[in-house]
Amino acid sequence: MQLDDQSVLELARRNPDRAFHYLVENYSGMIYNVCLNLVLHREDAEDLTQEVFTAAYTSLENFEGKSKVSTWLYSIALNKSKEFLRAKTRQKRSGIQMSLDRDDSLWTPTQIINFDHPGVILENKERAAYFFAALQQLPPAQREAWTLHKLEGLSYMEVSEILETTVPSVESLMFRAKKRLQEILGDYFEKKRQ
Amino acid sequence: MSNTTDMNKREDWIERHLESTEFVHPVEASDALMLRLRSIPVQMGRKVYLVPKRAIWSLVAGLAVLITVNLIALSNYERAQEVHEAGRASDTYFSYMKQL
Repeated sequence: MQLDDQSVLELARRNPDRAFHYLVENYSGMIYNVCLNLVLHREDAEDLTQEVFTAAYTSLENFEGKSKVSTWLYSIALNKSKEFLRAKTRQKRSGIQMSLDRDDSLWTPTQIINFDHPGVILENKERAAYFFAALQQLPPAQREAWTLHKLEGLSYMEVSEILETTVPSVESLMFRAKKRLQEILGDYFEKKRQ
Repeated sequence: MSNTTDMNKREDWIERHLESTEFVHPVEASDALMLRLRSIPVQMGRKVYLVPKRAIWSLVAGLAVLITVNLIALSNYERAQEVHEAGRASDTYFSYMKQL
């Protein structure tokens, strides 16, 4: 059963639990994938997906339908992922200081990024590792725009609604992200060749 | 010539690694995750639906109207009683005078 956003909104007013189950059945895959592409770990993505749907459940009655249901859920997912990544960065900083003088002769992408993405098959793992390693080095706004547009396949308009910005700003974020990714991947190429 | 080939190789390699949709595929949520998601309402322990805000405001407005109407009616009644009392006193006085 496929409902339009207005029907979901009406269902949420009449019977929030049924509306919630509808969201779980129809949007869990979408949210799991975006969490996975942002945090790059299966278990973390599952925990985050649960957090996103818990937040959606508690605020379902306050959802006024000003945006699309998918946009609303994407926004929650993005905020939760940001919180998670910030907490992870803090943990890393307060943890054991890792050596900054890495031996470049031993350098491989899997040494700089550790990911567990079930959507990447083994033969593509190295290629994905280079890509994710480069993506992780982008500023958060550029990384989010790139993930939503390129990996989730959303239009610039949808990305602008989720990031609460304008379409030209998204275009600019994408342009800068591509340029920076090309630079980083170029560096990786040189290191790989050495 | 060699430099151009190297540059092309580099560009190709970069472009190949930017085509993320070729090597990152969407996945379905596992059954275990679906189970966790479906059980959220039970875990949250919310059995009773919350009263919608609109209903609460309607109730408050209804109560306010009821109280206002009652206050107006009470003040009108008191005023009518005073007029009635005053009228009765003057009637008594004039009927007494008539008797005299």
